[in-house]
Amino acid sequence: MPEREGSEPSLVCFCCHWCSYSGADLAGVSRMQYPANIRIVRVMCSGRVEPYFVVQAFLHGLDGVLILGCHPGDCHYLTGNYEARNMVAATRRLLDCVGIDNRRLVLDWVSAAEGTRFAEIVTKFTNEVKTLGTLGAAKPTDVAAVNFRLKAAIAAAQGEKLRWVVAKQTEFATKGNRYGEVFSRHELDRMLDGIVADEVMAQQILALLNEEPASVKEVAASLKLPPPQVLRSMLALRRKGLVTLSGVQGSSPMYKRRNVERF
Amino acid sequence: MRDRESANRKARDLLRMAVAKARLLGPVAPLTFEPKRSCLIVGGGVAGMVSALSVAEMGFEVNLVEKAGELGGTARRILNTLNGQDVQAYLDALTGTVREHPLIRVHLDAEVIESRGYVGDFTSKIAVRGDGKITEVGHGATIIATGAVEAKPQEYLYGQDSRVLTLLELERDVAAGNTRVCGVQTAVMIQCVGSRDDERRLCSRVCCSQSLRSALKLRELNPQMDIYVLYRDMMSYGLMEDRYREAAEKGVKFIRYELADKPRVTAVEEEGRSVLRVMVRESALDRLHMIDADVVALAVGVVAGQDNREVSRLFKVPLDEDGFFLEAHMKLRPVDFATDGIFLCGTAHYPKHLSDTIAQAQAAAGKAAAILCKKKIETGVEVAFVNAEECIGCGICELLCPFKAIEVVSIDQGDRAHVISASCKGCGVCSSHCPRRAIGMHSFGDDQILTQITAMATGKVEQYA
Repeated sequence: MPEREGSEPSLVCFCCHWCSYSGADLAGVSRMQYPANIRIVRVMCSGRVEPYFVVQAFLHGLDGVLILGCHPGDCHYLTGNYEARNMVAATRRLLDCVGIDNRRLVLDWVSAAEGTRFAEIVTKFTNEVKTLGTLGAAKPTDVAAVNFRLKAAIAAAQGEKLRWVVAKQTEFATKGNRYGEVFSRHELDRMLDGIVADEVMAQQILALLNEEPASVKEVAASLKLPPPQVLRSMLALRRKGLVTLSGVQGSSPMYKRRNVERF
Repeated sequence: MRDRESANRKARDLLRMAVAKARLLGPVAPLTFEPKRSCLIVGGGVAGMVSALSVAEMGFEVNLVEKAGELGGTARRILNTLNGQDVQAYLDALTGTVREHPLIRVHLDAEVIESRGYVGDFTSKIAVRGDGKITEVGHGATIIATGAVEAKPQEYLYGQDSRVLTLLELERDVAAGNTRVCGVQTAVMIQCVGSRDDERRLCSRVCCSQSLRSALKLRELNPQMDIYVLYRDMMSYGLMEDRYREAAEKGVKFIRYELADKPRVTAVEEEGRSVLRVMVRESALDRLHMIDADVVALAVGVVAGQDNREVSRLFKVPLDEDGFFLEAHMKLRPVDFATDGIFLCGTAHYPKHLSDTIAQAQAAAGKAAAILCKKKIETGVEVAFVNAEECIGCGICELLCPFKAIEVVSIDQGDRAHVISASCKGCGVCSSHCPRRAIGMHSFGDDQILTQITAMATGKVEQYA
């Protein structure tokens, strides 16, 4: 995220074509007043807005992301807004890992008739982000650290594992997994917590090793994470063939990134 | 807010974002097909029948679905218009023509229970109550004309005292020559009952002229009667203002009240006569009037039909805050819904006069016919597509697609997802979940969305690569 002067937050709002975009249009036609910090990006369905877009927006230095869809049960595509809800659940966890206050991401519903509601939600969200402050206002060192973690979160959001588990949430909660085990929301949340944290850590390790070989201890120190956790992640990456031993320094094995052609 | 500088900045950003996206747009292969030359019309009131007749007269088949046992809807309860035209005679003629028209199929006691498809190619199921017979019809366009209903008042002793009526009930009694209405000394009409307050903000548009009509009719039948109209604002639209003057000249008394100080109605005995005592504060002179009435008629207004929510879900079209159907754009796209091929007319849209309903029904019919008469329709252009190099055939897209528009098929290289373009509606849920990021979207691809974010964040449109 680039450093920015000033206190006016820059916000992006994803609106679905059928309900909330029409609601925004109605707010405009009715000349309702709301803060001008928001920029609308139209998508056909809120279910199109993936975690990757959201973290990417923060990396670009935006201070908040608002996703608006049809009310539950009113989705033009039947279930797209429920998928949006699943994706936002994962994205919030990504933001937690990065250290960005997850109140900067809001998912809400606006129907085509609710111009007033659109204006209210946008006003409330803008004020909320204003109290949280702009992201770029932090100290440059902090900004660099957040950016490093954001890049890891982006890689995680593009990765197969996280995408797969996000996509399977509905099935796990209704029909169950391959063995017919149905998961409660609580269990799914815990699973997401673990997987998001693991994925973001793994991506951070890979990013560090990209620069130069390092030991588990060094990696743990620079990521400010407990060494046993890093070791577990490192061994998993080694099993996947993404890192390899480069040698031993003192009594510590040194790891380096292995560049492999995917598949 | 009301900040020109920020608004200007926003406008520039939005333009920049649109340009950034536009430069990444590519040509899309349109889906071309011949439309089904038939129209489905939901609702057999005046709006539905007029549009049915217009569409049929242009040579297209029509399926007209009415939930009641007869055609006509609310107009069955209206005797004549304020200009003296005979509504019942018009309605009988209209119903007769519709019933006899060779291209119109009327389904009475029926409702639509399922509808799918897209402009030019819808399929719906019509179920008839009673025998439970289900007919499947194909249609190229749909018109929603489900009408509205008279509100049921909660105040002024309605339902507790049989002398308190709604305007339509008054009209029914006047038509029947009922002496308990026509032979009385004093009649009071109260306007804006349960309307234009915090709970229901809308003006029903028709009640003022309806009260004028009833007042003039009563005056004609019984010149000795005292007639009072208690109003907040008399809205006699257009040339009906003349009728308001006429009523005033003929001795109908108009008394204005305020929302904060509504009239009060109590049943009392006065000198051996049982009356409805109406107390009303005239707001201009701030004087309290006491009227002993024999009959009180309430202008209760029009509310959206209970079924609207169901119909809205069925056809995926939106309702407004009052439960009426919402046009795609109140100024730029009248009678259209945001969904192509579905149109709207009559009081399902908003309370309106019969003449407005007829004009709107003809407009909807015109829009529907514009689709039905096309040799070829082009649609469904913004769909998903699979990058077979990246796809591993995991089937997540197939699992998530609400329209069964993507499926895993076996090809020489193994299992791969395949998009059925005709069924794809372009929501992009498959694209946002694909573990391999192997599914792209026409017009809503990752790069087309992200470039807008870059453009707003940097204030620059990236150079074309």
